[in-house]
Amino acid sequence: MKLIQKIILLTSWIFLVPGCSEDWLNEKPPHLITTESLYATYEGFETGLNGLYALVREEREGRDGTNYLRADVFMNGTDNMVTNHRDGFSRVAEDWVNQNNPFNADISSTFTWLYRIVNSANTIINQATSRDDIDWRGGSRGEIENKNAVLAEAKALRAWAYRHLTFGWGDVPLNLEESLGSNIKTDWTRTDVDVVRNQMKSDWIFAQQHLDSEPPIPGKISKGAVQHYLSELYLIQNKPDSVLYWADQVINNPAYGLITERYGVRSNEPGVPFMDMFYDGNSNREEGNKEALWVWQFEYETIGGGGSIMRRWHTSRYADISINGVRPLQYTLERGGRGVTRISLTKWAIDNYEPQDDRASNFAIRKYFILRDATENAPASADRLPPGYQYGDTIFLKWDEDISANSRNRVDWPFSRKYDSTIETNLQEAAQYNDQVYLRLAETYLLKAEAQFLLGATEDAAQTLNIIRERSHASPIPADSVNIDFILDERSRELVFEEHRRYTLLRTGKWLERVRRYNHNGGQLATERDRLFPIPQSVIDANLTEEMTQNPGFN
Amino acid sequence: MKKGLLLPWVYVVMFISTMSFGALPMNEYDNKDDLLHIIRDISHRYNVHFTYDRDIVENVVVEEYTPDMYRDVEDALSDVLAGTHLKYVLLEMKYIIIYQDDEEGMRSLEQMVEVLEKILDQKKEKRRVVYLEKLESSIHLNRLKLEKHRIMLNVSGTVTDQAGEPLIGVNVLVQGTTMGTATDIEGRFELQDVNENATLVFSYVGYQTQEVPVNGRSSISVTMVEDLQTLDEVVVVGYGTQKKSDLTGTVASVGSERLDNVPNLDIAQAIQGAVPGVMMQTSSAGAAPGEVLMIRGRNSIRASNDPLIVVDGIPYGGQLRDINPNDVKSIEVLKDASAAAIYGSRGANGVILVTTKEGEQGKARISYDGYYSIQQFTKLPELMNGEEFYKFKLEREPDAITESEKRIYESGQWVDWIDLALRNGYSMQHNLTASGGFQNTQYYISGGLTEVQGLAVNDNYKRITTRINLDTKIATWFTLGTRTQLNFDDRSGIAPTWDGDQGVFWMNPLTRAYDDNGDLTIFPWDDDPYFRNPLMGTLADNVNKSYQVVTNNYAIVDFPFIEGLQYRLNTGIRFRFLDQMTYYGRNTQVGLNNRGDASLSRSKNNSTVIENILSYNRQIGRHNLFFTAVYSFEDYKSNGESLSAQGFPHDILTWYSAAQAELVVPGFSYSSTSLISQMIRLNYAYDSRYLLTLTGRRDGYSGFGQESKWGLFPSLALGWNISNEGFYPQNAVLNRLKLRISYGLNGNQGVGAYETISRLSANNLVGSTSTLPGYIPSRLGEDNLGWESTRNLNIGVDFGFAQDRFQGDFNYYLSNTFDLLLGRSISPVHGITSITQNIGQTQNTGYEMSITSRNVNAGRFRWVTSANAALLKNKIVSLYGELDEDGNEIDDIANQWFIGHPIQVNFGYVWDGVWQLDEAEEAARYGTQPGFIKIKDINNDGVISADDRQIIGQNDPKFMWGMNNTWSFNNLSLSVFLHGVHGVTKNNVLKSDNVYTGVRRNTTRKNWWTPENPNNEWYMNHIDAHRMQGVGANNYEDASFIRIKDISLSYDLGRSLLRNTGINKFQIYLTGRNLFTITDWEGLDPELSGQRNIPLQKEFVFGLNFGF
Repeated sequence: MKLIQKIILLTSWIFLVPGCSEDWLNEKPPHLITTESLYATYEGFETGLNGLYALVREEREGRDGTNYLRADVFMNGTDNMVTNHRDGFSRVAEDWVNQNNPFNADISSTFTWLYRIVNSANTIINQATSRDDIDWRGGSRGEIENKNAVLAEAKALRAWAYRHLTFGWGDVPLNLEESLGSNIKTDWTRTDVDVVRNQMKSDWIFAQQHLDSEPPIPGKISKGAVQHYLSELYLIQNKPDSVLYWADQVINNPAYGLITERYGVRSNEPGVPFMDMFYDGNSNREEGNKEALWVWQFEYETIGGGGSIMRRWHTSRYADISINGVRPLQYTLERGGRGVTRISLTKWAIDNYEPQDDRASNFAIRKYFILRDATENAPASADRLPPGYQYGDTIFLKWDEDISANSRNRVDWPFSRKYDSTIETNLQEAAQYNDQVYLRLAETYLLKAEAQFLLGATEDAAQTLNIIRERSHASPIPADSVNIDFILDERSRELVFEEHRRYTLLRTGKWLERVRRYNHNGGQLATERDRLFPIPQSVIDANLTEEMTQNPGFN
Repeated sequence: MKKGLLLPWVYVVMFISTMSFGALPMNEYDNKDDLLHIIRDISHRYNVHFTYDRDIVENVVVEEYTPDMYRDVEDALSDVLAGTHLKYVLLEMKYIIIYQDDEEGMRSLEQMVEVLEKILDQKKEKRRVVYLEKLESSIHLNRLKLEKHRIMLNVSGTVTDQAGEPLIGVNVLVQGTTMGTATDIEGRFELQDVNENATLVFSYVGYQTQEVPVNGRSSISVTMVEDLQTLDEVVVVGYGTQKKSDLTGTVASVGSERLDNVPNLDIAQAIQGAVPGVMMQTSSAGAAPGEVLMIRGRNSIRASNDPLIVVDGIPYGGQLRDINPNDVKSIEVLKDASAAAIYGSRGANGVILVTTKEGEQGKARISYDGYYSIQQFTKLPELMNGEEFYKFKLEREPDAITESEKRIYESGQWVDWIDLALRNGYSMQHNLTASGGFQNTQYYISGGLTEVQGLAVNDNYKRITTRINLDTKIATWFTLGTRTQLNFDDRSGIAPTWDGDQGVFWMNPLTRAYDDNGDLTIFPWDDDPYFRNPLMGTLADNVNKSYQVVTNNYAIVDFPFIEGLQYRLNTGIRFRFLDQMTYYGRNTQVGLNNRGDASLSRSKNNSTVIENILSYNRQIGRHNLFFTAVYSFEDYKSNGESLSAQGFPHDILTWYSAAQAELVVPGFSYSSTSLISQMIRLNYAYDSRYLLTLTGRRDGYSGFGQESKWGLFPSLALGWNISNEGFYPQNAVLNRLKLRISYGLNGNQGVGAYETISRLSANNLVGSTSTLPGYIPSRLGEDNLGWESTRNLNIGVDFGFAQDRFQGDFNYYLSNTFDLLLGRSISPVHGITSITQNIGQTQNTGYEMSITSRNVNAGRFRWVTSANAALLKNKIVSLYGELDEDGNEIDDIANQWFIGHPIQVNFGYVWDGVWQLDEAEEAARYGTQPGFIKIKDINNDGVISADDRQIIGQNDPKFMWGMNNTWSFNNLSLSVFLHGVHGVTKNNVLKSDNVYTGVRRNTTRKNWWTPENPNNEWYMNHIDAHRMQGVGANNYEDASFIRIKDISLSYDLGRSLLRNTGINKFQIYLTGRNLFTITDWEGLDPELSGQRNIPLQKEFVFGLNFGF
């Protein structure tokens, strides 16, 4: 019967059709980008580097979308920064014994973040070196130069991440592979810290060869910054000669120079040369900041603009200062915006200066406020006058008694003004969007001085230190005053709330001693084991087939 | 017995002018002299009806019959009957009674006349014309057209229920025709011109459908029997239906008592507790609650455990709550491998088949169903009030008390945020349905409106649904139909924030909700501008609407020359459009900080299904064969655009001025997946005793790796109806017994699109002031990612006791899921912390039982209990296969997966009470002090370390049950539905004393330890009291519960009261939902997953159904 034939045909059609529809099951996502497609051209690598820089920039942002400052981990719990109000990592710095543990979210988040940077850099490096189908053309440079520049930046930032990792955890797994679905490991081992540092060294040595002193785009790491890191690395490895070599590469580079004169956006207002480079509009090299080796870029209401919370984390809650039941101070532009005082300067750090030192002036460290009227405070409203006060009167901050467990949450505590910055249209804004000097030449001088001191050349060391001191009108010091503590003091005077103070102190073997001495809210409780952070439990737990050793002293 | 009931020996013979089967063509009369033949011929020729007792007519030989010679019918009859002992009576020139000329004959004549007269009277009434004069037969004959017209009798009768009460609105249909009617308010029906050999079909919701042959009777009384999962109920099994007695797989139906007279917002609520082994959890409350469905436990660790929902045969990817539960006729749950294997790659989590209502032949019926309910919260946690909070803070961190807190404390004007965020809720639903059928078309058209004002301020839900279900038989071999649903869903309005640090459950009471002008404060805590008003959302402009069309259209070809062979083409299209817009103006913290904040998103989801289904269904002798083959194609696409904008010039135009905003960020999303499937199923039954089902399905899914796109899913099932065996005792107490066993493989495609592709995500930068687009690696692909598969064994018994007075089933199952799609945590050293892989194995075993018992069935009083229970055990069998030194597989502590333990366990330190004053010394050894938390040092090594963590109970229930009792007396009926969930342990986060540094959030009132009140219940109010050696312990509580889910009292006005109103059904009911819960859980509600959220509501419902 004809019909039966038709049915048979129909049935066979049902089961034969899939043969030709295989292709229909192939995924062709129009909206996703893969390493394969992105890293086919030089421009693709540039976007990969942009992503990497944006990851690095998180150091001055909140971790994992919170308002817990990442940089807190490297700055707080030291001789010059102390927990004023517990939050995020500030809990650890206040209570090392209990909070510095493998479950601490701030510590494990930092670890994960740094390896994210490592993997992003590894991916760029692996793609750039293993593929031969890449179109390296672009820009004004040649193809080889483009490739090397890409590798240089990726390697510089990878070593930057390992710098954090080695200071934070000591021996860490050295991962130089691009992570793929096919190379998941459950048997990571911790590589000796010296081996990791040698890798950093080779990355940085390669990088400095191919990077410009003046980065083509603001925000990118410069040759000087990498050489600076090399000099610090040799200090760690106790090779002062090499420190001097690399420090001088930076210092003697005509592109870089200390800011000794007033310049830029506020040069007509009262101030000191030292603070000019921290003002919005002055920080970039293009804006006159010759001292800058690396300037991080932020921008308000711009895609990719990020948002730093340095000011928020540090600036005192001055609006909460209460005089006879009146809270006089408004958030204003001049006051730099709103702060929540999670970490503050230690009393020692405030008192660490000679009176005439620019770095201790009210321009650099806020020690008083003047009551302003509506015109002066605009666009904010006028300050509220407590009984008996009038506009123009001064409200002094207090630091005669140091911050301690029994005396914290201090709203009237002096604070560094390096991060004063807010948005005119939103004075409540949590984040700040000014470009920020991340690494500057003054620190290179201080590394050099340290190397000179280690070499026994105290005269030279004093001379180097005095270059820095002179700029801020501190009195010159004689050679016999130079010792490691003086250098650390000077570093604090110059770099407070800029440098990774914890690392500096660890590097010089002074952390435990000085944190116990100068930090009275938690510092006195720090122990030997706290010089390293514990490996996060999630890292240990995920290492199924090979036990990952914990740092000594942690459960 | 009623007068009109026909005597058995009476035949009313209808003759058809032209024999439709061509057996005896008129003009080829063969001159047989047998009276029966002659009567038939006369009937044809003169268009008359004969009534006679066959016994007296049979075997009578007529000497001479000369049809062309007679003048008229009387002439013919006189002549024919002349030589016999028979006589005739002619009524109305149309009805002829032949009777025997004796005493018995006279008696029967009387009866026959009575019957006929009754019929004639009815006709007279209708026609209002009475013909009594004799016709001029020759003229009459000439005019008579020998048409194909059945001349029939009228049938009337009464339909009652088992209690003898009339049933109103019972559908009465003449089988095989489009003729039908419905019973009136007294249960009566009347059908005209019914063939004496016809069969009447009586059907009524909730009752067994009955087929009653007319057998020449003109009066038929029927008693309807309630439908309690009857043996021969037809069950939807996916790509077809089957008789329940022929099933081999495990298919459970949701009882109609869970669908009717219960205020279900969606069908998930009807399923809860109604089917053994199906977990329905209300994960969040509110106007449009969140729900989680899981069948037979958790198979999958990371992939979805959601069952596949199939609506009217087509996989449904939309929201369950878009389906109007009022339109649903039946819900079936396919649980074992055999039943679910036909859905192959998506059957592993079970399948829920939803069938919507369709029209029935007969006159149009219009009905209204509606309810109104009042909602109140069931339970609220006791948060501290302003005074208690102040004292708590004073004790904990006195220097953190801010000026404004102090001011408010002193003024006594603190805020009860929960009270401000709650209101009295209500919900209402109105449904109007028109259904019926004419000629070869049946229709069901409904419109429904649901409106809910949730318990939380500004939490509203509105749904409008329309359904058009049509079936039309265009030709005997060709049917077209549609199942079309349109719906509109409006969730506009943002409720207060409940959870999180800006939520009402956490908000500091020493704040201000309203400013001096009576407006909501922007910064409720003057001294901490971080905090925004939890009610902020109520000030936002918000639109959240969706529009959906689901249309499944089909064509059926019944091949005319091969009986039982059918081809069906299903084409389904679902399109959903979602439109969301939000604007926060400067009267809110978000709007103020961002100078106006808008977020807009529009998304489109569409799926297309094309199914070719070929089936062959045939009974050949004792062999019943049902073969199905399917080739289907599914395609799902979604894409959306979004826009977020900040920095608006003003608030006047809200999002409409986004073009003028300073920061405008557009976004796009896209996803597309495809599935190609082939399925073959063979159902074979021998003599309704031995049953076999063989199924094979092959699926190809786009979401999997290049080498692993296709999967094959076979299954086998056997059934044995023991009670149908000849050797089975006829009158056994266990009157029905069936054994079933099935084994097969199901899949879980579990992952969305693009999981196999390694990819980068955007991470942008700026250089100077301009954006520098950036990317970072974000996901690791796995090239050979494939199906997650489940091997499933099911052994089941179906039984009925005491003539099915007790009936039920019992099932045991064992399922092994392997090649799990595991989103496995990997070492952070990779820079990416998880990857999806096919690894590991889990196992589920369980016992399920359901039983329905007609406890009392004494006339007007009836009591029916239906109950079900499921015991389930879930464990991880294997993960990555990595072994430790002892050869045992290593647990994955990072993910909290432990070999041999359930998939979702609690894992952490064990809270062992509070250090007491006399334990100070021991406490000191652990570096802590009396009043602080005591954490169990499991290994007793003197330190609290990672090794002291323990598994503390599981998150999924071990035992679940549901029980419904219905008592009815006359028109009144009461039903109570209980639901129980046991063996769940959850962390009660609500009680946590984690109030942030500076005591910036509220917590519950507790019995804190103090030296004066040294209890073991809760540690002291101290900033460090919840930690011991730096670690804390969660507060685990037993989250088992027994809930009186629904109590429903209904009254059917019916019967007497509705006489002469034209309304044939009028029922009112009162229902209470979630009235009582028995639990040890001290949080908001044991069923809800978030404990800081909108509380669960109890509802008091008034409902009304009527129809005409």
